Amino acid sequence: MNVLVVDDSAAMRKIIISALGKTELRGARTIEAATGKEGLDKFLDGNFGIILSDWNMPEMDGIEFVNRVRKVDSRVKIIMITTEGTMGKLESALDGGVDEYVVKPFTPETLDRKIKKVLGVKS
Amino acid sequence: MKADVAPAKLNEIAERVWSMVLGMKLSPVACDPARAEARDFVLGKITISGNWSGSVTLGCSPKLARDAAAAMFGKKAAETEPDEIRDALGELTNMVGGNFKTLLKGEHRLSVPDVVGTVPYGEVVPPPREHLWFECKGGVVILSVLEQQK
Repeated sequence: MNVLVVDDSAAMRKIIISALGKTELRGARTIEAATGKEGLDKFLDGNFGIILSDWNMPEMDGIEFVNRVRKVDSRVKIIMITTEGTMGKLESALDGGVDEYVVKPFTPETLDRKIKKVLGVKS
Repeated sequence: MKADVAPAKLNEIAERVWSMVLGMKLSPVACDPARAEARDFVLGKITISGNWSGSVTLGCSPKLARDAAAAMFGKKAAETEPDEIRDALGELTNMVGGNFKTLLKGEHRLSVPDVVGTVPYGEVVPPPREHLWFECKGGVVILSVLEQQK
């Protein structure tokens, strides 16, 4: 399965990809994007099973990115990785097409639990 | 509106971010301007707007910022690039500011973080400002919350 990691912070992309190595997705091919626009371009060019996206990004934020992905693909699994921990905002993200969310800072175990949940894998 | 967030909560956020992201212990210490006045700091800043408006800044020594970048990028401190140091401190500021925002009542919007290069101590702690001090690996980390004056 191909995984798209969208975050404007290179440090955070590194941490996410490192954490993925300790999850259900270890060994998966990961593609990075530093902006929502770059993420959208790479998503349209590729064949991705899951997207891990930041929320707070310049120009195109994570919610707009998800909205654009959902206009062309309703099946890809999307996990939002965010500092946004308030229920109202998280619920609006889920309503907007996000399948799950992980609040930063996070552990690989938390990420693994959310990945298994969206993929329907039993722990 | 006052932020009404207990300093202990801010301590908890900073210590959790430092520990989970960097694997480093951040210990609260008493404010000691004499220790920092002659030093330079790398300063990360994020602004919050909504019912409460203001900013959260995170300042630390260039050496500690380099160590943080090394931990986040998984490389040796001497191999870190200036862009990576800015990126790392920006993300740490984003996490601390974002978690602080969740403690505020009402709707708020978080900016993207900005990292100012190296600045003197006076720009890290301009009065009046609430700030918390921590120690990590022999260096000082200063977390400040500044309410926007209306």
